[in-house]
Amino acid sequence: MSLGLPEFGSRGPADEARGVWRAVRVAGFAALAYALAVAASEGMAGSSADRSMQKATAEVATLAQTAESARRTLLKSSDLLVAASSVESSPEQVMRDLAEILPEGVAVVSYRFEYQPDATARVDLGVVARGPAAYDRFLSALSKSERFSDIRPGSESRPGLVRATVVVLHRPKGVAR
Amino acid sequence: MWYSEKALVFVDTRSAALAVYREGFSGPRLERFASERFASRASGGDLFKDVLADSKEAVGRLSRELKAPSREATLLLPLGSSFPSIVDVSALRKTQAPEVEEADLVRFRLAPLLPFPIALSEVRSERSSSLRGGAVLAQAVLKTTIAEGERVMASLGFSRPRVSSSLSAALRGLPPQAGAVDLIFGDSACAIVVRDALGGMDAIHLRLLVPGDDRGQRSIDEALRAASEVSQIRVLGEDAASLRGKVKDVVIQPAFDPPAAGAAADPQRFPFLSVFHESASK
Repeated sequence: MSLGLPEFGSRGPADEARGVWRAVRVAGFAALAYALAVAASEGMAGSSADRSMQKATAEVATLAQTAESARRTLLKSSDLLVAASSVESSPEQVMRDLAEILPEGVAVVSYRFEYQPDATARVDLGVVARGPAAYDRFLSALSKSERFSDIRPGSESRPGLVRATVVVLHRPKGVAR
Repeated sequence: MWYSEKALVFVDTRSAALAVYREGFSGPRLERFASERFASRASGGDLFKDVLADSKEAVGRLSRELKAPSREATLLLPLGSSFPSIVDVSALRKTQAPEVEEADLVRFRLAPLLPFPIALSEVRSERSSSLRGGAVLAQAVLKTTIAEGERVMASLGFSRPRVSSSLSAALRGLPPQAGAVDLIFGDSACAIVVRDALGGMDAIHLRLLVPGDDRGQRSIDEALRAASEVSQIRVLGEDAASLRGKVKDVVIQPAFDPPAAGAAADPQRFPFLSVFHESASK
């Protein structure tokens, strides 16, 4: 930003960085084009093998279509989704996912679940951390986790032992963020 | 690109302004400026989307009148669109885990203060000579506000517009003043900046001003509440003289001297213009 003001929005980093990035992208496209050309020439040689592959692919596509139509039926029923999320984001599962990212010196002392009609679970966590550093490690790990999103840190007491509340959405494996 | 013209487009709930400037070795230089008031259905609590929609014609006119460059334009969001806070990162760092990034630390400190989920916002922080060492001015803006700003700017013909904060521009031009409280007014909000004994920014608060409020009285009351002892209040964006009778034993003065006769670009009227003032931190 020319006046040194903070820059919000989609423009991203400074122009110089963007110039370098553009050069990298051009090089990437060139490499991709080369790889595609090589793949195409090799693909022609193996066309008979491809036919059997195509047949298998078509069968997989049919199965995927069936699964997708079943999923769409499920999506129409919010009750079913809530029920599904209560299974996929069961307290045991959420605690397992939390245990994977919980840093040393942080403990979850309370939790409350609310299952959402979009197949997610809203979890209110009560957290005690040995200190601010440990608490921030926990927030950082939460924000980097694929399982948790929409993190809303709530009230917290500092300094020393940190007691805080955090609201997060838990998404089971396979549900897009 | 150093000497090519650039534009700042400022939109508030009742006024729009456009400044065309160039940057040189001695800093940014204002080339052309114009402003226009427009009738808006929006007030302080309304969505910025409505404000932008109402201001679009006015900004279009200003852009044509001033022959604003279509590239290198920046939309400055008004006071009230960004939620500011001063975060002492160096103090946090002393007790924080080294692997936690500074941007995350700022987000974590800002999150509980926001009236909306942090996930729906973009947070930017900046350092300035008016902040004590290690402190940053952090601001959160709703992503929808930024996206709408970019969309409206693009529809007005500005190519790849930037989005920034008028509060940042206003603060950049205000020289440090020990023990003062700065009141920076927008059409529908007021920022209260508490200065420490060295003139650095100690705290910043934002108050929305709703129709029917006594803007001056409410802001003075907030300034008195924000600092333990207030002896001097600097005013930007409002007529300082109109505030003088509202409090005793406190010196109330404008942040900048009146501009030369006939000059339209007055930072006392449009605080973001202080970024072009000679006192602005480069």
